[in-house]
Amino acid sequence: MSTGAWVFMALSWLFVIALNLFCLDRLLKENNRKK
Amino acid sequence: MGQDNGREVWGTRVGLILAAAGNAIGIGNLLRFPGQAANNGGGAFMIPYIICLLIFGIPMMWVAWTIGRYGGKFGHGSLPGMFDRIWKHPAAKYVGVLGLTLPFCFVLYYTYIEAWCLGYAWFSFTGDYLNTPEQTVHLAAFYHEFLNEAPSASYFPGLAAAMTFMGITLLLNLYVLYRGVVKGIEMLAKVAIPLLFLFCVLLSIRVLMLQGEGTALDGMNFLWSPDFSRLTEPGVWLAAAGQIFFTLSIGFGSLECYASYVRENDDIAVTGLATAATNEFVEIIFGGMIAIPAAAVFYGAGSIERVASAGTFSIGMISMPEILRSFPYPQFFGTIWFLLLFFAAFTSSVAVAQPVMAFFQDELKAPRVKATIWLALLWTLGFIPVVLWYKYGVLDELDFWAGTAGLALLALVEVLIFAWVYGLERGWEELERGSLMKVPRLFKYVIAYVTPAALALILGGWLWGPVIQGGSLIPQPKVAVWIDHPGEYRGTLENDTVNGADADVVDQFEGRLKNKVKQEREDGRLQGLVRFHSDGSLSVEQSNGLQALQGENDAAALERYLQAKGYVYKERGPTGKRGLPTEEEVTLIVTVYYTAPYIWLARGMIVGSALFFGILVAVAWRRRPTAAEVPA
Repeated sequence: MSTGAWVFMALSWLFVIALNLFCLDRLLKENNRKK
Repeated sequence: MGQDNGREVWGTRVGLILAAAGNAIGIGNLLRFPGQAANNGGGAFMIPYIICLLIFGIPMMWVAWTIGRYGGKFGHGSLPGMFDRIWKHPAAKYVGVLGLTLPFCFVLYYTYIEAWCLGYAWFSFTGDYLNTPEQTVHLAAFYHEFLNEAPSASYFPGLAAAMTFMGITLLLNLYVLYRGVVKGIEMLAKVAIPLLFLFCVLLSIRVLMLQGEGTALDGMNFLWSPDFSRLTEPGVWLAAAGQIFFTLSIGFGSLECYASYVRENDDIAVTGLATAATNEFVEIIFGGMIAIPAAAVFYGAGSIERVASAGTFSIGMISMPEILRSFPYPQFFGTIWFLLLFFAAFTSSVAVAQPVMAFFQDELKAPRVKATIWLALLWTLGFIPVVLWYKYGVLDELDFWAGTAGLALLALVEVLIFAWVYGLERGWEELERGSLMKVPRLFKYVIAYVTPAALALILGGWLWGPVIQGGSLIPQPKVAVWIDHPGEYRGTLENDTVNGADADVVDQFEGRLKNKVKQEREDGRLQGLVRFHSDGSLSVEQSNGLQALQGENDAAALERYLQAKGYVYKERGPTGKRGLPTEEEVTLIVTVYYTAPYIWLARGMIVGSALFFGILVAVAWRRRPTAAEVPA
């Protein structure tokens, strides 16, 4: 794989993982608060 | 559990997020996304893609969830009631009819595609399309015969198999809808979405381990290599916007319907965002890991472009089975692949059908059994033309108007109502009530100005291309070339567009066929005995049907046409893999389908369902005062 391909794949993956982690963090916080 | 107004509410937040993610995750995540990315600049495609996600994907999710929860508070699960409540104008509920017509017309054909996946999961399990020492199964013909599109009948004698799987799919959908939001949709999502992730992981590992002409990394390289020069093309931006639209299921009224079953003070901002995030995870990570890398392994790095540009269903239903059957455990991995597509489609189809179900229950006060029976009758009446006349383009026509242009129109109407009728301040307050996050204020201005402008551009772009430039308002006959009795031949016909660059010859020949068919008002068909040579050339030995169609008995005309189209006949190895051009005498059939009555039928179905739902809305509102007449 070319460097460009690696960079774009890695950035796109990081973006979705970060987005998911952000949502997970908020949902877990609320869960803990409720407990 | 019930709300004050007696409607159901989601059992758990996890169930809600899985159900909403199931709504968004569909066949497009795994098949459409990689093809779009590969054909529109590779890695560079992600720049317009993520910009579109931010300027209208996520904002539209929030708009839909806010409108939905607000409507649910007053007992409305579909857009007529929601718009009526927000706009307080007698016309509002009729504008909301779009939110019943579009999802209804969409499920009519989407469940048929879902039925193909179920059918192929069964054919994989039973090994129906695997090659044996006695016969090589021609997968393109298998697919086109299954849909009764091809004139041959080597694998399927008619539509019985397709109808059977459509019937099963319809019953499964109706069963889930009948069970209701918590026991039906939420239960399905809790089972189907984890399974979907498991299948994605299994298939991704499988593809990474395959060894063939190329490697999986070649495919990922093809998919992700950025071509920045493409970013100046408006078509690439339109493709990115379209992908965001389809992938998030915006403009169906289904997100709003799901949101209507949320409690009044429950969070919707993070839930909406989590839905988009889960969908993007499947699309960006798994969408890029399965089909295109698998094609690179099997066909070699040099052929991926041909596979990627052949279209969504060609990758999913022809190339993927061809690849999977060539490696160990074809039945297991074939079944997993098609079940994955089936579950992705199933969780989407129940979501898109739910607004109609909710309308019957909420506005017409139908008990669940009655609502299910009404929906079953309408659905059955509607899917029959889609299945019977697929080859005449009924599905494509519904897809263009209801599943593409209509969605952009509804989304545009919705964002305008939210920002400019309901009011941004009130809308924001509603969105943030019970929210687990502070929504950045910047999005307020994005929703007011940028999202409507982007949606108007998308709608304009979609209508400009095919309707205004392409003249697709006037139905044109469809021309296709097939091998007669493909099961008897060991080779395969390929359409090499690079060699066949003579577009004028093709246009002229097809134009004459189409004109003749339009005059006769019935299908045309011509047949030719074609000798393919090992140097890739061809000659037509005999032809018939040509004179009647063309007014010219000239096998040479057919020969010039086939040459101009670049047809090459290639041998297939023991695994069914394409090889070098080979010598064989093959009977080819050119079909010219007279599509006009069926295209108009499809358009009539959309207009008819709009009128039908419009009448039902009028009936429902006659029973009670409109929101405009109720003092605040």
